[in-house]
Amino acid sequence: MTRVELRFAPTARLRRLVLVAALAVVGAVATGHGELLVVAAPPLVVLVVAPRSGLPRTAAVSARVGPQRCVEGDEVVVEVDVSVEGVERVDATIVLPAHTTASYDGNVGGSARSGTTTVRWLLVPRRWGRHEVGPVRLRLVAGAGCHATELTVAVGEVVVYPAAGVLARAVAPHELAAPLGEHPSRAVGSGVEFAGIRAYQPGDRRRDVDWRTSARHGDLFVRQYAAERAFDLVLVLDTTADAGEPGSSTLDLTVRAATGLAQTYLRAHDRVGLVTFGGPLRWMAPATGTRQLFRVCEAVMAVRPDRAEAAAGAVEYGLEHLPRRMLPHRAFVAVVTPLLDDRPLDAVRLLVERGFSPLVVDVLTTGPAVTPGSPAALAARAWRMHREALTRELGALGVPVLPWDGAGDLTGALRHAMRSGSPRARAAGRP
Amino acid sequence: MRVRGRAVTALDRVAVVLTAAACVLVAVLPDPSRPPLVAAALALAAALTAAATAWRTAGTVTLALTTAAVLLASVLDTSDLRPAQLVVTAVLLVALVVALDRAEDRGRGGSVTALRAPAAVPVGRAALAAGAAVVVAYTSARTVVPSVGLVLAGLAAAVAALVLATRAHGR
Repeated sequence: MTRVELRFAPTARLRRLVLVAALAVVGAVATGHGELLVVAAPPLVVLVVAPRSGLPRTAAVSARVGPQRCVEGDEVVVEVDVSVEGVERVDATIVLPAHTTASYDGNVGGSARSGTTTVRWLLVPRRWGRHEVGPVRLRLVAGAGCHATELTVAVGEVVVYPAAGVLARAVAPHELAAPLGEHPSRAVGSGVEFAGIRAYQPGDRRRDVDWRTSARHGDLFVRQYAAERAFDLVLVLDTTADAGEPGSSTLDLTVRAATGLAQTYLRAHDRVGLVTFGGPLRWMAPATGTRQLFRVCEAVMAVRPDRAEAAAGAVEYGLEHLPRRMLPHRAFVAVVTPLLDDRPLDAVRLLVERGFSPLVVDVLTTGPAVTPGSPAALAARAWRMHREALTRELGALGVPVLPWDGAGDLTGALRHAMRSGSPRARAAGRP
Repeated sequence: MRVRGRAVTALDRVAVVLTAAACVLVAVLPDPSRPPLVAAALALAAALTAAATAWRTAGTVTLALTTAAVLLASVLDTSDLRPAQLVVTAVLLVALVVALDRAEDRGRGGSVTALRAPAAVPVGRAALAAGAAVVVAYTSARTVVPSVGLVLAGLAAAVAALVLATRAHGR
């Protein structure tokens, strides 16, 4: 615990007691009525029994927050320890970060007699990001409420990762390039998923012989199994704008979709890469493993422009500056965008030209609220028509557009998009 | 828990109005005259404002007006009951100060009480102060004939009070 020096100041109570006593004394002197001094006596008695010299000089305080890394909606505990003798009351106020709810969990330790206490709050961060929790402001009251001082205790930072709940399971195209993985492919190999039966050929393993089929046909047949391959997923995030209410804005849904997809595929031992455009172009080469999941989460959380970037103005680069190794052969590209301007269309065109069959996840769930008949309504209508035109152009390119409001499961739509796309186009995706 | 908190806040605010009302009623009755009545009405209005808004300024104005009503009533009414009324109103004024403090603290909101301990009152000093207050009240209610001894005693008491107060409230 940190020991801090206390500097007490007179409270409103002390000033008011002095006011009553002073009015009574002045009244007694001015009017010559000595009995008015009786009114001054009780406040003066209180002031005498609560001297400044009896106040504590130091206090020990500490604060902690945990866990320091969590997911949106998780509970975070903030505890503050105070140890000070000779005070009558300690009031505590916590300064909360934006989009965070808190409930006071009461005193969880210490005793009034020893002057120690531990107070606890339960915080629920509702929005991803790096949040500064606190400080906690303590108000120490002593001397019959006539003296008070305030302390500020720093708490710490909490990293809140976006909630991921996008996919029930990892789905993959039939044709996969990477040799090792967990997705059964069309190619025959040494996996565990049954792929078919064929006639026995010299060199086949005896344990692969299907004895029941062989007995039925009077000839030897062997079972075939699907080869298990890995899958390359590249997430392209459009961070141009953030529209909608905080907590369910387009940027919120974008990072949640990206985190969910990355989490699901990395758990299936696939490789996941990341590209963000709309501001400065950032990328992360596809890789696998838990470390990549954390790298993706950290990168996704950096899409919100910080103060320095906002002050400097956005520097825009298109996907044409993306290194070719970022988009491996037969990678599946998911573009997560609110489709608010033409930049996602340009990005998708570029991907199609390179031979990929991307899927577009549309994360815009709200429209502008306008009064019917007003000029704003006309503008809103034009804007909707523009979005519709964008969607149609994407459809003309053979790119499926999947609206996602943050609640649904993308598994079925992803499977449809992966298996309806042209295998030739994907096969031609060698950079 | 939230309902209980709101009830406590409401009770604190009601306490402000009731304490101020009791104080001015005790001071003004049983023989009300116009100036104390006007001061009492103003004090009640200020008390209602202070209770509703929890503003510190409103609280201080309430206290000043209530004290003024008490002093005016005491000056204008010299009945035999007046000394007893003064003692009661003086205690009620201190209670009003405490009630205002509580209502204003609740009105700030957002804060929780992490520790509450009974005030450590030095019994000897409290007894001495209360005794002195009784002496002041007693002598002020009587007609005292000035004398050299009385003046010297008064001077000695004043110097002692000054020294004690400086030591007690200095750091």
